[in-house]
Amino acid sequence: MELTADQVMALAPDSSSAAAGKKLAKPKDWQGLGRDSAAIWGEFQGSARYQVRAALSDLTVKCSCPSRKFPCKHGIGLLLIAATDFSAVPEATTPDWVTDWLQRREATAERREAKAHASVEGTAVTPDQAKRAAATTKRRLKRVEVGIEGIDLWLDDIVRGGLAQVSTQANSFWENQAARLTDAQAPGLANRVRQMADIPNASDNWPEQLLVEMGEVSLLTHAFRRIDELDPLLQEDLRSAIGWTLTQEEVMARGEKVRDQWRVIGRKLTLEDRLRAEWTWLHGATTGRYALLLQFAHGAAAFAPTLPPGRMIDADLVFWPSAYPQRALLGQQYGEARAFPELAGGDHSLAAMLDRNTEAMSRLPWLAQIPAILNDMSLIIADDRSWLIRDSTGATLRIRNGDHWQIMALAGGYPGDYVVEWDNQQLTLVGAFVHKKFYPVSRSDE
Amino acid sequence: MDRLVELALKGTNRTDEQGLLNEQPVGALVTQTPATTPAKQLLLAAGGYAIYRQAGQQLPSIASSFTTAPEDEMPPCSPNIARLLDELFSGDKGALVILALSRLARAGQRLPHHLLPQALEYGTQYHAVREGLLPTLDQRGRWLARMNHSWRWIEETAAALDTTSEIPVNAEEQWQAGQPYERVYILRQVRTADPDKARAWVEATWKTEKADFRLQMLKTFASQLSIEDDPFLDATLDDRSQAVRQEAITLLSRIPNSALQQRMQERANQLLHYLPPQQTGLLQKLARTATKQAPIGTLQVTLPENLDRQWKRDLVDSKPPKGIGERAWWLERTLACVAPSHWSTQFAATPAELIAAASGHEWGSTLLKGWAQAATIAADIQWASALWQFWSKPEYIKENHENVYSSEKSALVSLLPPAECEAIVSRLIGNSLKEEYLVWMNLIDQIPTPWNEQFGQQYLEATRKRATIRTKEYFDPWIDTLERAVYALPPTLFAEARKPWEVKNKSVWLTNKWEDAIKEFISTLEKRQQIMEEIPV
Repeated sequence: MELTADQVMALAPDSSSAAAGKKLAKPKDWQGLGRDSAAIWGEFQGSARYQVRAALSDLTVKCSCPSRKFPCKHGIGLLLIAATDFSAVPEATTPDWVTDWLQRREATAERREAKAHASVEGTAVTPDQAKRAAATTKRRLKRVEVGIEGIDLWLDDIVRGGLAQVSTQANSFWENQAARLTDAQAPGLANRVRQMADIPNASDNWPEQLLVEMGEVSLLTHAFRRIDELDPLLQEDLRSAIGWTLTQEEVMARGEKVRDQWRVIGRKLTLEDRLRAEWTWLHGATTGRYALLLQFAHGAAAFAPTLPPGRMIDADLVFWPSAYPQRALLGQQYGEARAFPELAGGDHSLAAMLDRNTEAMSRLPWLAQIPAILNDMSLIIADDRSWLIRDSTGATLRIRNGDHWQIMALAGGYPGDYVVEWDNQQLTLVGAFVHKKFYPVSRSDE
Repeated sequence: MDRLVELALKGTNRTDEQGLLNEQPVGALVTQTPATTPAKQLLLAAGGYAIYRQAGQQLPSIASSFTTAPEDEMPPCSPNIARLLDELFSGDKGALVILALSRLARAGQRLPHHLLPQALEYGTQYHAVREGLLPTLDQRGRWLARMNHSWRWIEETAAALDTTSEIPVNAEEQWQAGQPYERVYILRQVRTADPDKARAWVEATWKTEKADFRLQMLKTFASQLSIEDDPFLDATLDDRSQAVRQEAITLLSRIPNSALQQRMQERANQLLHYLPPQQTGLLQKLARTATKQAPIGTLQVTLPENLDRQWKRDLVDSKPPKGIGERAWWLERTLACVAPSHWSTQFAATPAELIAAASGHEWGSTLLKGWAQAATIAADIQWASALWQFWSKPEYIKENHENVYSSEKSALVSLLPPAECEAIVSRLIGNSLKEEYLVWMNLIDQIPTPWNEQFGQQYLEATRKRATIRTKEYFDPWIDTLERAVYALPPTLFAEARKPWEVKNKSVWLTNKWEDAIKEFISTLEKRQQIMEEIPV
């Protein structure tokens, strides 16, 4: 199996789980380690005896321990054992507790697929249902319009009085406005107002940051008043920016379906207002398209399993309707995930990456970030000790701070393939492909 | 953008600069938009300009003088060893790390690249592994370390190991103007190559330096110490700092025939007299034959009455610690400054004879303490050996229960020949159900590793026995020797050591302690075995 320890470590939800998992990765501390074509398993004696199993297709782990982390340290330990020495997990008869789980997983997958299928096929909508839906949309539109009216007046007030005076406002000043927008069913705008609350006095150029943020919100509300004049796809983006969410069924029904060998090139966790988000970046080996799988979880709830970075799967992705489609859903999968052997098909110069960004922004002006595979570039350190990516023309861009020493040690300053995220200010290093192996940069903003 | 921000900060109510928008890149677009307030126009212009700026971003030019890593010279170690090191680098078993690294260096193998940052972090934390780490880093590791300030110690370690390193041309400049640690570093180098020059430097600046730096400078005298240093060192006995004076005394005692030693010798000669054993009497001869004892001479001890000013100065600290009389303390300190070989010559007696004579004496323990300190300072192997032979005699052990560990004993251990250490430990370890016999624990670290099989066997047997003693104590110092044994046992005894252990104690607490220690012992031993088997040298 082409599983590496780094891929397993990248699955860890945080560094303490990673370290704990490493400690448990000793075959002699386990009982009944085994595998079949679909799964690996073993039992670990912790405070109780835990049954740990992992599916080989997507490395999903199931453990009987009470940990709310996912995967838990036992799962990471088991996968690490398999990654470092596959022979430590010999072929064996599948125990019932593994078979049961595999069957349950399969049933869930089938149900999910059937559901998606049903909505794609579009079980005929009765005129009555259509009418009700239209009425709901209309009601919502009315409320959003009221909300937009409100925020425009609010922003107008602030700018007439001057930004200087908001620097001393209590949090409730922002929170009240955000709450009004939530009531008006515009949670996207509500979030942006909440984020504004953190800007005043947080940095030297906070007035500029705040003005830009307010300006961008104004552009959205301005556009929304004339939404009918926009390109239909951009209308979708605008609605989603305001906070109109599509259900997965709607995406399945209306989104563009693309089958490819999708390479998982990065993963990060973010936390916003107790809502945790998991970002998984994909790149299609044939189409060259980038995609983002995004999922959310409240509090300590676990994310649904996703593919680990470094692996590639033949699958359908269904993209959210958008002028610049990035976000997607994972649809039908064909065959097993495996490690990708190369990471070609990216940008060969930083100028090309910026051009791509310009082009993307011309289609979707409020695009916040794009991923990029950078081929034939070097990770280096500037004289002032900051991390840089340099292309073969000698052009450089700064990388956001982080611990990139291991990748540096592996690459030795020589050109290689990197995965980054460009957020209009700096690059964030997401992964590196060195000596035919993918090394994800584990990141968590939580 | 700056002017837009300025306008927004003041507020559009208070300013009237509508013309401003037209100057902005996207301003014209905005002013054409109908039915908008000035505030709204400002917001749209700012938002639009921000997007315009982001979308049209240019590449900055950042200068960097970066070089790629040079080719490595050695092949990487095996994946198995890499995995073991990965685990060791996240633990605190420095000795295992040192063992693995030294075997890697001897086998001509390097660390794999992915372990380098961890290895360097480990070396940053544990100074003891730095020297061993150096060769296994190879080119890639040295290159990586140069880019991180906290890994700078690599170059310093390399420079310190490089004995051929020449004194830099600007040494004097560095000595005059460098940071304190740089100054000490350069002074130490010069001291090794040219002690006269180093001493001249120190003398020239002595009075202007702070006390702790004076002490550091003085410590460099330990290398190449000679009678040439005597006048200067003797003068520092008048220094304001007691730590400096103490260091000067130590150095002066190590210079044969230093003025201090001569003064002290003269004083000591007045205090100590020796009468050789009577050879003639028939009665004594008979008694000796009966007890099989060597003849014992007699020591006559006179405690100092009063110290003159000079003597006081030479003692540094004339106030005794609690529990010791003033005059006994003066005697002990004076003896400590006289090389013990002086007494062998002066009294024409062997160290063993003199020790035997002291042992029954009223001031015997004071004499032995003074001699032991003197033997340590003078690094006198003969005396060290004689003292330890005496301390490990059953008769002495039985009478000196409370004295198992003392600074005098442990300080002398490093002077003992290894074979002698082993013989003493070997003689005592079997008796070790009695606490006073634990005096061997002072010596066990001195026995060269790997232990020979016979001694290892003896240690294991004694330790297994000890683990089953029914005691009510809360603490057993023996447990600590497992930490030494785990690195010292010869490979031929690994299997023997790993056999199941029986632990039986009255105290639950102590039982747990033993069990934990043995678990740790076996797990460490397994790793040591893996290192020895998988890194063949």
